[in-house]
Amino acid sequence: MHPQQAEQFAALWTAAHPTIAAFIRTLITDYQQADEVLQRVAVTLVRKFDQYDQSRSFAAWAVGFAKYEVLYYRREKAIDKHRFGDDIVDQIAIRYEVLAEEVDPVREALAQCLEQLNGRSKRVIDLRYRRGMRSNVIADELMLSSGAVRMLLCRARQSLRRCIERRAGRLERFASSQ
Amino acid sequence: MNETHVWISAYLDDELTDDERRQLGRALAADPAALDQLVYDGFIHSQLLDWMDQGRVPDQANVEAVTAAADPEEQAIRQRQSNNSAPSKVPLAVQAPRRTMTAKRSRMRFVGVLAASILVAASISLLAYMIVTRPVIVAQLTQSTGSRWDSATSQISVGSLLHDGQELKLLQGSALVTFSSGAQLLLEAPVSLRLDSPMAVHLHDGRIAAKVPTTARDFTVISSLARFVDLGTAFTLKLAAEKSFELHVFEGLVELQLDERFGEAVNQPLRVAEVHAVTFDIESGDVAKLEFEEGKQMPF
Repeated sequence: MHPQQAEQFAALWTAAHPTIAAFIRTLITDYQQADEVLQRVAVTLVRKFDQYDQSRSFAAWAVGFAKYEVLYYRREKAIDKHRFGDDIVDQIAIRYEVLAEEVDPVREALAQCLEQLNGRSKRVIDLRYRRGMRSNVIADELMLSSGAVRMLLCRARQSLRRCIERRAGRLERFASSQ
Repeated sequence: MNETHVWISAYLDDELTDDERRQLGRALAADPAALDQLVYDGFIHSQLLDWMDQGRVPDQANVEAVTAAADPEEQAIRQRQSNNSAPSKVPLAVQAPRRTMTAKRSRMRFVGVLAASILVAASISLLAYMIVTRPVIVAQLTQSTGSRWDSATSQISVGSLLHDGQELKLLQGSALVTFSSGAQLLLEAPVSLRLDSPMAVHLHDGRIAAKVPTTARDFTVISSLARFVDLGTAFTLKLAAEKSFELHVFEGLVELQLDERFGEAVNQPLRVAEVHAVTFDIESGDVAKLEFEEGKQMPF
């Protein structure tokens, strides 16, 4: 890869990284495994960068490769059991390709919505992501049952999602993409 | 909130049972809105994980403890739990009958709540800030010959993207790192360095060669002994950590500035022109001319 290409790739990858990482983590929920696949995708994209059509969205192009890396990884590691079928993976990939087009407003909205969280939602998100605690540890910390923590996390995510929808107005785009 | 919402949330935390996972798969296949939610929540989850991965936030363990005692909603949940037949996890202090609070205790409680609120608000603001300042990709490993990396270094191979702050320790072979600025560094084992930005590296020890296009003028190699500012050139630098270095300039100019501990007299930038070489030894504390050797050039 020539220096100019490397520079261009680095800029495109940096912008697409949040989308690609999210797509992979949505399908591979183990953090370390998802990270491994993300690295594989980066390597593949570098090798295939000559084939990238610059009239297309880079993130959408990259999601296509990420999808095959995820499917390959799941088969390679035999973690297919009870995972979603290929048709669902396709549907998720399509949605991420759409999301990639407006990822910056969504991220900005998320940052603002985080500041608006309050009460238990704020605390549980803080423990989960700032302290890196799993639900059972959060349950011990807050002296709650695991089920209650599960509900708290679900509600906190719902609050964030609704807040982002209000700010960035995105779900309609998903619906129209099907 | 229906079961699918809860399953999606637990799925992202990798905490679903096999049976729940099967049911979630069926729900996703049947309901496009559930897929939308999975994608949205997945994106939010991933963004928050990116922040967590940086781990640069100071620990504020006391925040949660103080807030836990102060949050009335939390106490309501605990109260509901204590009313259930399941064994209660609520500590005795919470279950004990309330006493009438004195004015002093009220003020202390108010101050505690206020302090906790400020700390939590600051924490969340910092979280939001960190989300938009994730690690920056500064370079890429573009060639590798017989390379073996230190096990502490993350497994990297040709094509791997390298971020700011990343430490590289090459034990064997050679490797070419291309920066997004266009600068290229050839590493020859054994060598260890840290990538600081698209325009700077910190060389700990070892031998490197730099090829810097005019677009990356001012690319800087920092070491404990000196800073080497590349003024659009090609050079090789051999550093023995905390002892000495040798610099050969093949094209253009390199500006060399010794660390200030070596005194004001040598703390003036020194420009080394092409086909020249210099050496420095900590014992002499001074830069000396060295016979230029074309053969010292490392082939890119």
